[in-house]
Amino acid sequence: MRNVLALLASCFLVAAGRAQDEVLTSLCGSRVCLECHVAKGRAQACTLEPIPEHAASWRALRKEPAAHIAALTGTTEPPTESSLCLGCHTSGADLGSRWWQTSFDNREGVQCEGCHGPGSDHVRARRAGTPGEVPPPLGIRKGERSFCDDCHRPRPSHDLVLAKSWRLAPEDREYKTPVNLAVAPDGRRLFVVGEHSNSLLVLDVASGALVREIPVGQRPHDVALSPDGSRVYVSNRFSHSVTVIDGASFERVGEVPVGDDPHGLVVSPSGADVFVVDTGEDAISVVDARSLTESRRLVAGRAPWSLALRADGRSLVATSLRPLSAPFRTEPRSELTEIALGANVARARPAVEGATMMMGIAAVPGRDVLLFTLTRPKNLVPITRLAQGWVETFGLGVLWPDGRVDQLLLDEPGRAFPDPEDVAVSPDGRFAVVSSGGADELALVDVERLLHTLESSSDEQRARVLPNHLGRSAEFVLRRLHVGANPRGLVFAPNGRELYVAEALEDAVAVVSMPEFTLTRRLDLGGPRVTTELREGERLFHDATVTQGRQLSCRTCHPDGHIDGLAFDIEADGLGLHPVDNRSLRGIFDTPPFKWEGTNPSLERQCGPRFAVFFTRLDPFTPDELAALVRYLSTIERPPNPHRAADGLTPRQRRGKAVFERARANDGDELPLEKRCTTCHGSAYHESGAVQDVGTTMWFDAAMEVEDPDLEDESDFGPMGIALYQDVLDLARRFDTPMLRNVYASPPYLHNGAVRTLEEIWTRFNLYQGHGMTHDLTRGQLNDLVAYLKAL
Amino acid sequence: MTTLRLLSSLLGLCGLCASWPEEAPVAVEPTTALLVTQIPHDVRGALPGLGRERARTPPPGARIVRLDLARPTEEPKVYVAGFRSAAWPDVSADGRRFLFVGQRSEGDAFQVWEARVDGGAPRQVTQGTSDCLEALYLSTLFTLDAQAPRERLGFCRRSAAGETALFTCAPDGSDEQRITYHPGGGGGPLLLEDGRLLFRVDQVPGAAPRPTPLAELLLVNVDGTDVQAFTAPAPEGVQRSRPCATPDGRVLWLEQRADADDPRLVGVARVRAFGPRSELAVHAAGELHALIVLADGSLVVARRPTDAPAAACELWRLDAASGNFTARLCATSDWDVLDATPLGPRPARPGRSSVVDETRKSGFLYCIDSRIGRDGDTLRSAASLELLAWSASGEHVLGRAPVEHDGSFYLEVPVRTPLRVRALDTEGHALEEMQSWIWVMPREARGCIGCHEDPELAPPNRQPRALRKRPFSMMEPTK
Repeated sequence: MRNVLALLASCFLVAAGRAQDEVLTSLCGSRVCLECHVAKGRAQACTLEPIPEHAASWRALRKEPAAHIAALTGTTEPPTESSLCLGCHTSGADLGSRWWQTSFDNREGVQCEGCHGPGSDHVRARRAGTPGEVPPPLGIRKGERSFCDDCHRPRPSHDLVLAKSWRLAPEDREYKTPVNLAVAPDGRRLFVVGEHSNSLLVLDVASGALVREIPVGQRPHDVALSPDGSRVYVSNRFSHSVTVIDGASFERVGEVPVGDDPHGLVVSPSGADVFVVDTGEDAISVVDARSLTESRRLVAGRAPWSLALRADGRSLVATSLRPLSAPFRTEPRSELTEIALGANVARARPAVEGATMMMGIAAVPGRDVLLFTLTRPKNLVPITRLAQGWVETFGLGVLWPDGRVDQLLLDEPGRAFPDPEDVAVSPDGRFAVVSSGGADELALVDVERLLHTLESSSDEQRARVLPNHLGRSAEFVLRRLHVGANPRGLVFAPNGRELYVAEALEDAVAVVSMPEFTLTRRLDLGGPRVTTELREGERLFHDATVTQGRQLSCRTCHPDGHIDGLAFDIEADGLGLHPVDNRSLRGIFDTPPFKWEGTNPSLERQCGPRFAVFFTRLDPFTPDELAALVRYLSTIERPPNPHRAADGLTPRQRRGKAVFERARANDGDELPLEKRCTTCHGSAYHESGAVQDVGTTMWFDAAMEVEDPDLEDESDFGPMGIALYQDVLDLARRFDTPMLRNVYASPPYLHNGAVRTLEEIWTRFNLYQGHGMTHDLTRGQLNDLVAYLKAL
Repeated sequence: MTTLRLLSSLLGLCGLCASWPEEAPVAVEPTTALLVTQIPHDVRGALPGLGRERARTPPPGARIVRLDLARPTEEPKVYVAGFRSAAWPDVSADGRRFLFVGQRSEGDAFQVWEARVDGGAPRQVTQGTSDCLEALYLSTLFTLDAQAPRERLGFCRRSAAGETALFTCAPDGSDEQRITYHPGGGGGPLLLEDGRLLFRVDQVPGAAPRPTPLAELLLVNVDGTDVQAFTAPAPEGVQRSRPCATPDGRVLWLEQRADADDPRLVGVARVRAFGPRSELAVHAAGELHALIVLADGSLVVARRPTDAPAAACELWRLDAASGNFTARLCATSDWDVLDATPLGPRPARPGRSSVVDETRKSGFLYCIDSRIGRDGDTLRSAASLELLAWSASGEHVLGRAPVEHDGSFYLEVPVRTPLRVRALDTEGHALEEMQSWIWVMPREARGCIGCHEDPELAPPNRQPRALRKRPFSMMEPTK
């Protein structure tokens, strides 16, 4: 029986069901509706009319509280432009303006079609019909009034702002948050990226004075200069672009669209090309520096992060943040991408076994090797202690000329070096400095000693021992230096006498004298002098000293407030059981309950006593600390979705939306409510605020009753054993319905991260159609559905 | 979080941060005052000798006085009165109170007492008929059944049979909990910067040839969990003083070999105690009884010089660079110095949030790969294991359990019981066995990397096969 079901599930893509009619209707606007439906009591008139609040709902988005509410929803656009806000405050947000007829005005708030769906077909039929003929009624979209709850559900963001009068502090909008920096070839100017100020700050190195502050795109991340210093390039994560600035006049030259979520960038030695990693789409954009257009896009590892030129200038290497797709519960494996300059093609993809979070990278002058930061997680081992590198270890990778990769830890047995953000190498190649964002610390590495440690070890030691050894850092780490809050980007002065450190949450640049490795100055960037509650929360989020042995910070698993792509085994729910996929923190405040089990009704609870007992193992947060942390978590931004065009859904996405909202199967049978996507994912966030059993209970969700199952063998138990738990053991579990906003950015999927792509949710893991009635979908319909989901 | 930031700063090599006033690592004003335990000079044989500083109860007449090193001629101020014997003060983090152990009258048990530095009658903390020794302030403890972290005190309790173990209690003496269960006892507690307790165990009385912990230093959380070796055991025949922690993150002690004249000052990094250790010969030492680290990091030793065997044991400054005694710090001709501790505030240590659940009867012990040996070496594969337990009657086998093909095992084990593991081959012959004892607390899930794991090696990142199943129960003895 199970084999039959599995066969059915795997074959449904070619099932010959009647295709859902394409429903590409558009929105007409209430005025058109009112041509016929003029008054209550007349046939087909809305029984709820008039509803002034519906009509006024768009205008509410222009009022002052809306901006504060938007901050608590992770929205980066103005509320009147946010698809999330407009989803409940107007009728046409989800479709977008390309689906609005000229008679439709979004500013009229929630109109007839907000509840009844786009009416163009209805109107067309009415107008084409013979007098007296009544077009089919549209009805309420979901056929019942629970549809209203999708918007009329209490939302913490609205409650906090409207009921408790919470507001962003003025200073919250004034922090600079320096994250990366570059120095001019003559060493006189320092260019600092202000992530929160959306600006590039130009400092005079000698005096420390702020020379200029240049507006750039949204959430800039990295900066690079052309070899002659005539051009300055800044990547803008949320604008999906690179801003180009004249290096002499500091005037903006242009802005080049690139891929999703660009982070690191580097300029080729000739200055002809600018390479920028598109972290959100696993790519590297090549920008022609003369035409300022993207000339090529190359495939990179998962979530590429930064770039560095090899010392010989013939190639460059990109790091990547997240691991490649891997079989369930196996060690993560990440990838570097080496690009041959000139040809601008990928020439090698060295694997980095057991490592993730490869971030900063730098070449060693005089040696054809590159150093890059990395994290070696222990996500397959239960989190039962925070000692001896039991949960996370942190270190450096070495990429040799022949593509060989070595790994060494910067930790010590009793004290981790958490969240290594960046590495810089002195111009003479003697020293490397690594920043620990979690410990507010720098490590000074003797490069020759580090390389000697590797070269003097056997292959076996290099493969198995050194990557896990907590004591060997003493051989090559010369000193450790405490700096201001959350050091990230590093750059040496051209003469090597100074090192500049971007102290992100200190709003300053620290100046370290070399080779003394002492702090000599701090360059103030002009941000607020006060530390707001939000800022304090951000510091706590990045602070690994809240955990025993500095083993991890919140940021360790949630870089950029997002995910590390791993599933961890947490002690509280049983050793070896219930591995839980790491979930994004972007825009989550309004989506309680939290945890996959849905047991935490608030973020305060999520980060409360149990978090201390099972994660940090030190003192729980004080009430003030907890409030600050939750406030920061509540405001982590959700990046603009690159899969969604400015004018709304594409035709394919529209078709996918129709599949998502369908109430009937391809054969015309009505779908039970519990089998429809919108039943659980119908709200503005596309979540339900409740736990559901959708037939996804798998291996490790309960203690094994089967000896040594082959997890990749689906023939007996279904994928990951879901047939076993559905049919035999009756141990099906319920999980929180995740929000689907920006779901494209959060693989792997489901509660345990066993599902690598959105498609797999239905092609492999919906054996019993518990996760929606989907076996009748054609391949095209499924592709449409996925296209729509990615646009959310 | 200020406390944690201070700690972080302290860990971050404080000397390097001097130019950053807002990041000053330790906001503590060093003082020159000490609380000193003195005993009458005419009490012969009362001084314990190196390595036995607190193994015996203080002699009658022991008293606690305040000495100011900046005013060496000033008469010591006696701090507690009305005790037949009072000793071993430990000053609270805020510098306002101190704990000590005291005996009111002959025949009374030694109890833990607390007094204010600025005077007033001391209050009794502990009760009972057995002696409480070596009291100290701990970090806070938080559990899920509590509303907030609770302050805890620690002390060593010695039974009538002479067995010692570490206990904790609330500041009022209630909620007494035993936290160590090593057959070799437990004493000499020292609270480290990371909030964990360093303590010493001795040779297991009447134990089999193995294991043989000799003056072993162990680490344990203040809830009794995650006990582990701090550093390598002292070689046979070597006496170690009670360790001290320095502000720059080192742990120091004195070692005396039976075949050597000069003792040695030994130091290890707290965060890497199995790493290289520094050794310095202490010249013309004489009779040493206690090593004390002052707030500024300088060293003081309670010493009776070799050339004056009848003189009082006094405080001497020890130069940590040369190993020479550079100054006698105060004259106490009628009194021997038994011990001393700096008086004044110190950085608070981070608290502990604990999984320990007293309602549970069992804990868990799992091993990722029993084949992993020191420095990553691969040991022979075990087919099964024997779990050995220690009780008053000695060592006995608690049971046998399977070992998975990947070398992992997962056991449900009795709590608060000294345990160790012996790996067996397919024929039941012993392959390897643990050289030290561990225990688990109620609900604790204790993980090990391997049977002879390298303490400087992080675990491999793989899911132990044993964890795919329910734990093998060791709760019932093997029949």
